[in-house]
Amino acid sequence: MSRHEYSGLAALDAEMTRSSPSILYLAAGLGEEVPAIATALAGRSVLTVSAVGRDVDRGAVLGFELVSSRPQIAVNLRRARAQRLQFHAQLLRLARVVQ
Amino acid sequence: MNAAVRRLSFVLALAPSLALAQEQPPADEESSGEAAPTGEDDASREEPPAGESGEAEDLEGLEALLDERVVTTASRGAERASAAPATVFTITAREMHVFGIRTVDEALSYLGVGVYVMRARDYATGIDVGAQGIVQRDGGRHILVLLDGHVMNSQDTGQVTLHEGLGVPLEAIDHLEVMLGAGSVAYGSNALIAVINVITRRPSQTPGTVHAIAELGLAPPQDERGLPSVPDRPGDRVGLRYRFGLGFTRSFELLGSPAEIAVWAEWVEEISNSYRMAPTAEGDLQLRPGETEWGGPTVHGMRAPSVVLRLRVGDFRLSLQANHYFRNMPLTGTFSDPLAREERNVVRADLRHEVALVPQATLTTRFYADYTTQAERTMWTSYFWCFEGQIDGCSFDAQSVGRWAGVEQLLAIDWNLDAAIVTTIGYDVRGRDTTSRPADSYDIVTGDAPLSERLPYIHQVTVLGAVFAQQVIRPWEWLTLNAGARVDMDSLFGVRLSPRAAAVVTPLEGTSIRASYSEAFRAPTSYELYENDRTYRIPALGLRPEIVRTGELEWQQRFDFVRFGLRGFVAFYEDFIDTRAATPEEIDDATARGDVTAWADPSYLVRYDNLASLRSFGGSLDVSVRPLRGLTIAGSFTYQHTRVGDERIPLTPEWMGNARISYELSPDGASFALAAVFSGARLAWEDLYASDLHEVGESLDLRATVASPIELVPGLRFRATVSYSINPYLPYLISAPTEDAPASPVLFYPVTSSLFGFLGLQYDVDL
Repeated sequence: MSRHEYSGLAALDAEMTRSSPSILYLAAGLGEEVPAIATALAGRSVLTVSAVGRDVDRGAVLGFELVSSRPQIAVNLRRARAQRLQFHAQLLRLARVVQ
Repeated sequence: MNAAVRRLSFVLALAPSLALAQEQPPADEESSGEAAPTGEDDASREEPPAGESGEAEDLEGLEALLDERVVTTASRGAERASAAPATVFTITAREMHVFGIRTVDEALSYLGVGVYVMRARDYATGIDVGAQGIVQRDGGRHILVLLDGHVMNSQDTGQVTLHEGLGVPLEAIDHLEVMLGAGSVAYGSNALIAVINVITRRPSQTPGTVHAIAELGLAPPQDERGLPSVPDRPGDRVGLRYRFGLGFTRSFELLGSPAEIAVWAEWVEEISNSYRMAPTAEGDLQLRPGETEWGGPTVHGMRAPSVVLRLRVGDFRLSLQANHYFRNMPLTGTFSDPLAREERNVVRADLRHEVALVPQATLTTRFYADYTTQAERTMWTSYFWCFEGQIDGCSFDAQSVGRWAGVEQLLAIDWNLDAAIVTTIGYDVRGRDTTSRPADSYDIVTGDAPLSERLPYIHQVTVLGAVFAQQVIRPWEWLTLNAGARVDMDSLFGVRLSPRAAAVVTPLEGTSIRASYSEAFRAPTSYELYENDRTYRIPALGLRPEIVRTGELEWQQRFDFVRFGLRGFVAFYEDFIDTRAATPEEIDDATARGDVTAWADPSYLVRYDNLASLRSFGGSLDVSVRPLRGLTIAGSFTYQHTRVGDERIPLTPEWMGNARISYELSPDGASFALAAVFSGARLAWEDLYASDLHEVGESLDLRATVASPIELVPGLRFRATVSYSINPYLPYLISAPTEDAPASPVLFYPVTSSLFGFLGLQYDVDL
């Protein structure tokens, strides 16, 4: 695992090319950058994960949120397809799905 | 944005495919027409990959994890309910919808654990909520009610209500968190037996939606036995209750920051069915000129508009709440007097800001302010309730205005960013300004104030300061230790320390065992310290806070489709505040101060005092079983035993509980639900020193609800409920025991709506 401070899309692209990660975790506070990051990752097979459910609406593939005191998974299927990822149907039944 | 938290973490996965997702075929295969799943419908058609039973098991585990509830009330921070330092159960908006719940008190009755609601829907006398073996008819002073963490108890009287008078539109509620037992370590006064946190919906849950609801309920007339009847006698009428709600949510950008707003408004009104009290001529009855009996047919009205606004801009969150509550009180004072009523107005504001100072530390700052007015009027004809010259009787008016404002800061430090060592420290400073006229007495005929009497007027400015600290340590995965304390310094009574220590052991997946010790207090309010009725009650300066020391042991277990919790408690209550007869010395002092009229009968003069020490023990079992997808069978059973000295005193029923079954076709689809609430006998009147304890018998309430989307109109839903109380009686004290006749109170058994039904339509439109 390696941790990087976000400094822009160019640096992100370079790091993605260098390390080819399977999972990219977006820390809290990056919400405004998520749409641009998602666009930049199109075509790369990487699962973007955020602890903020709203980030899934902005373009993260997978996120977590609390709904009525229960944790809920949120999945952005459109971004998943753009990032060449496929989810199991059973998991999607448990998730809030963003098209 | 804080640069310190602008971080990306890259995690390199070694497995060829991820547990939750797997790579799609290359792009050229994707373009060949084999479309990837694009939604739940598509996904549901996808066959599980062969040879992936292990992954199916993983998903079962995930489903169980998603069923774990996350709570914030016990430790003032998010944590799993099974790891919390106290018993916390939640009731979701969906559950309230499925079971035909209309108010928070109903939700606690039908869906709660260990909470006793003293007759929901009892407009004759209001309601009270009890737990841990304690309930008193004191307007909810022993529970603390929060709205998104904002204290709702009046800082003037300590009172709070959980029926329509709560003032939170039903559709604004996301869920309720109820913490049983002592909670002063986190919140200070009033958290003696339970903390009820009403959590409102986040606008982001349904962004860009307009929501409208209309609900209409009917109840038939009731006879003297509380049974439904046809309207065939003079005075009979069918009751009508309606509720209209409107809300909208919207996301937008404000000053360059993401923003969202939600507004929910509701109007509830009831024009009750008629109900009948068997007339009596016994006891100390408030009879108008010409009347020889108290009782007959009566009705009441209730009106409760409310609004909640929630605005979030960047890291700031503003919450506003306002409500009005009005109800008639036909069974207090003279019978069925249309002028007897209770009225309240409330405005609350809460501005919160949360910032991550460094990745490890989050600072939450909260400014809050409340403004409340309340008024009560009743009519009395017995001479000792009124002043000299008011020979026909008097109207008794009590009014108060309360204003308070404060600031609270909370710093939470997760030292290693792994939730293993978390420190929380904070402070709360609150100023309170209360003004009251607790006992204005006007001639019932002329409306004139007494010529030669000074009516009491009270103005108090008080200050509360508190500091608190909490340390959570998780030395191993299977052990969580939580210790904390809060010190309250209050100009009303002095200083009080409220400690808590808890250990939670999770030896196996799905198993948690908790042991805890906590102390809590309820401060005497301005109302109790300074209330003065010159014919009846003298001030009670020097009251001490009520305190409780509680020990608890809890076992929570979760299997595949079964979850249960078994909890035991023992509680020692000290310095409970109650009313007692004033001594001759106290009467002399009060007379010298001008707090007693010369007209007063000394044998009726009373005051508050720290009187009772009680001890209580008991436990609860709650079970939830989901044998099939969509089917839930659940319930709870509570036993509690309370004693004063060597005497058993069933303030709450010694046994009580609920049972329910629901079937939901899909998570947001049609549902069918049956629910029951049952309780054993309990004390009719909470005088801890009555020599003759009058008990009210067992009760059983039943409710059936069906709810469903209406497929023809997208966004339109309905729910219909029928409710019936097998034993709707609740004793109502007409005449209190006196020194001359300690064992002869006169009790009446008024009824609530034993049968009612309602139909509601809800329409949601995306903007």
